[in-house]
Amino acid sequence: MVTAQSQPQSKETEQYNVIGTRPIRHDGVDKVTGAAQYGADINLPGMLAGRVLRSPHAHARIVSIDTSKAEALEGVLAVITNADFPRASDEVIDTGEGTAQLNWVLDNVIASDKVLYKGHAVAAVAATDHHIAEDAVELIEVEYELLTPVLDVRDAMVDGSPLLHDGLHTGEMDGSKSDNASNTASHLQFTKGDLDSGFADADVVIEREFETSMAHQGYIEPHNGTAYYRADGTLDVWTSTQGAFVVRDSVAPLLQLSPSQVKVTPMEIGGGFGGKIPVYLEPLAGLLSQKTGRPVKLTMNREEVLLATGPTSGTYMRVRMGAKRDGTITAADVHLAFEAGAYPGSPVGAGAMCALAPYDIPNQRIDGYDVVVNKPKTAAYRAPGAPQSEFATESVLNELAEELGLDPLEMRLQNACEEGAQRADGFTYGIIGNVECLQAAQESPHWQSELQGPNRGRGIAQGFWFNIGFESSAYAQVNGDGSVPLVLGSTDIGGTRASIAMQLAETLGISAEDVHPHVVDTNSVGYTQVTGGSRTTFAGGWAAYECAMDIRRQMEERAAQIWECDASDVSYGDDAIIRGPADEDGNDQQFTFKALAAQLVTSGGHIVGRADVNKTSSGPAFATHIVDVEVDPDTGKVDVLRYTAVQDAGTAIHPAYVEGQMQGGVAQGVGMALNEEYYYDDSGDLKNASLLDYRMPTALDLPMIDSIIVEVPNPGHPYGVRGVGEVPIIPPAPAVRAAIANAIGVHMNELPMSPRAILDATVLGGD
Amino acid sequence: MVTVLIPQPLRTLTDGESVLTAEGHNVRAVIRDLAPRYPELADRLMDGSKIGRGISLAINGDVVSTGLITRVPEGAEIAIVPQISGGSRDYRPAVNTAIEAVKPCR
Repeated sequence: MVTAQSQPQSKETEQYNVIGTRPIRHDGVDKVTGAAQYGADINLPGMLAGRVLRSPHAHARIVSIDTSKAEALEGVLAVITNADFPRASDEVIDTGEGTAQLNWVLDNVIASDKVLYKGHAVAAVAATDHHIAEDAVELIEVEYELLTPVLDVRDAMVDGSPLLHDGLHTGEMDGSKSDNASNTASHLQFTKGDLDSGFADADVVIEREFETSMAHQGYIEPHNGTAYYRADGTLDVWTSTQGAFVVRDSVAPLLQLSPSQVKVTPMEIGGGFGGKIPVYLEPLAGLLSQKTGRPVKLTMNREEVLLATGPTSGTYMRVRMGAKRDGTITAADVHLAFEAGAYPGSPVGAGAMCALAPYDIPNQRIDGYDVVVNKPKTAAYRAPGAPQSEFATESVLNELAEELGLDPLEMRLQNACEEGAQRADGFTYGIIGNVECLQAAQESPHWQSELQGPNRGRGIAQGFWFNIGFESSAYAQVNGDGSVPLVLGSTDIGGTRASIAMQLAETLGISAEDVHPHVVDTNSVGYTQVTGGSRTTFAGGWAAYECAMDIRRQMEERAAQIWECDASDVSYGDDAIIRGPADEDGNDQQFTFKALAAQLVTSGGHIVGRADVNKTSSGPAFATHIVDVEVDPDTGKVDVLRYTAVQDAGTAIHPAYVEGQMQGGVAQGVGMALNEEYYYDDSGDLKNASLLDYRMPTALDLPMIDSIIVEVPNPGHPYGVRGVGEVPIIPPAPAVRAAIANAIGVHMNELPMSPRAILDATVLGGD
Repeated sequence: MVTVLIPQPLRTLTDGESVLTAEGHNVRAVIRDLAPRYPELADRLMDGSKIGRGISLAINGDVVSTGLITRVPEGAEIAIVPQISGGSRDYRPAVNTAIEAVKPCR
């Protein structure tokens, strides 16, 4: 493998040998040659094909299910319904980027008494081939009692609305609950200061309402799950997932198995963005394999992915914000109502905590409501909840700047949070790069340039995401030739094999090419949380650092043993030279890493390093985006002309992958801004369940996205890492909205700002 | 001594107080110190051997991931925040009983 070093390291990473360089990814050859094994590539002797029967209705009671004809079909070996699963408790399990009650997880995997969205799984079959499985599904007879679907978050919150769950009451943070059943699962509130006096101090107050549509993550690889229940009572699962341990800890209780009986092997993953955390097919494959004693593979087609897996929430939001004439924001009142889909658990909590996070506003109130509707249960999607809530707040801030005749970037600088500022949720910032991002944007060629031409406009927005840490493990062994296999539990979505291996290499003083990272199954590495929350390079890198320090200690001890001196007389240098006391001739004794590695076998055996870290600290991420657009007044189509993304990475371990994350986040954010929406009819039928009609941006829709990496090292990490994956999806929608307003003088209050929506707001004058 | 920041919705459990002080070397000890003064708050924050359902605690900005035994440094600030997803505490869906009546016809 060759290190590609086409660009110099940044000033901040010049102190390092490996960090800040751009080595070729370790898994690159397998990916580009097609050798990489994805979930659907699994083929086992005697394997059966599985297929799922899905509900044609958005809301209905299941009166009966007759599987007899399907079971009688030649080639069918098993048919299952919810009733075949062990009864699930209301135990709360860790679902990766959140928690959920086990019985909800099971009900979402396969419906019990009611179907709650079109596409909800009702039964599953295993047969000797795929065609028989498809025929068998069509032979299952289900009698439904149709119920009125609830499809809009505001409709769902109204008293008297049809209820999805008779036993659901609105939970408050203090533990109390509403007397009456409701579709509003929970309410949370954050406050700071005195809202009334804050608005009284304002010279200008703007209030706006916003609506956003459900949007899908758009990963290209559909969900899949293969399981083999062995005669010894153990279950092997192969799947495309962001968290093998989360799959294990979901499947095991659903089948009433011990975690030790379930081994999950994460296959290569064709995109996830949060959507590959929940289980859908794995428990079905597991139970079908239990019933048949043979391996069973299930895969979704694209329509099933869009109908039945978790998008991000649609929302209704209301923001009121006030400022003095000099631009000082005095108060903000934010109301967020998020669709959770069929079961509680929208990302409204994270959305509420992020909504005003970039700004030091003395008087705030943020209310969040988690609301069930007859749509698929939402899942995490890149900075879950924040693109929506910050779309609303950033948009109102832009309008305030416009109203006051102020530069929106200057106004953000004036109100920006810095170290020591406290958010309404109680968190106090440490060292952050909020102001540094704004300053870098201000100095960028894009912001300094002049935009000309009719129907063209420029917009800007800021974004914040927490980033998280939590548990990661790493094992590494020193081979006799000095190479180091590194064993990880983190599924590699965005180049984390490389970014974690680089941190191990930096700590050991060896090259990235001498480290060989491998993502392994749940029996072969310590517990590792999901690849999500922008945590993997942060926490996985920290585990790699600790693992390398473990190796360093052992290498020092081994050198001391060889030199017959005390280990305290040996030291490990930054250049991977292990130095000891002078020999009898007065010469310094030293080993290179490879020289000592060559002597390990004859001096006591190989060295294995290991680490398990559970880091609660994190490095908050900020981003500033600038966009130029042109609006076609006849069609309402918006073209993105120029885009610049500025982001604090803490330390950019592999700058090319940081840039890739920034550009990918922008592409998805622009998709949410301009095109992407789940389009339902009144019966709850998703009318655009294909990637032809669910319109994601392609390379032809976007210009080259300029990326400016700011590096304000995170003091809570050995190499200063902050997560980079999520924050870049947040600013695009409010930045594009501001650019459209700048171009044609119309402020859009819904997402997506599609040609239809823009024409509706311009030519048709709104509703 | 440590400071515990009480979010608005929980102030019904603290007689309206927004900031409390307490003693304790770990999360459990801090909650136990609060219990005689604010028993309902303590019940909300501690569920047997776990932090209360749907609640997360952050000590000096770091989210607690090691439960009630998490060490609390002297002078620390503890924030109470909701878990970033999940559901309401007392929801007991009717489906588990209803399902018994919907056995598939075999």
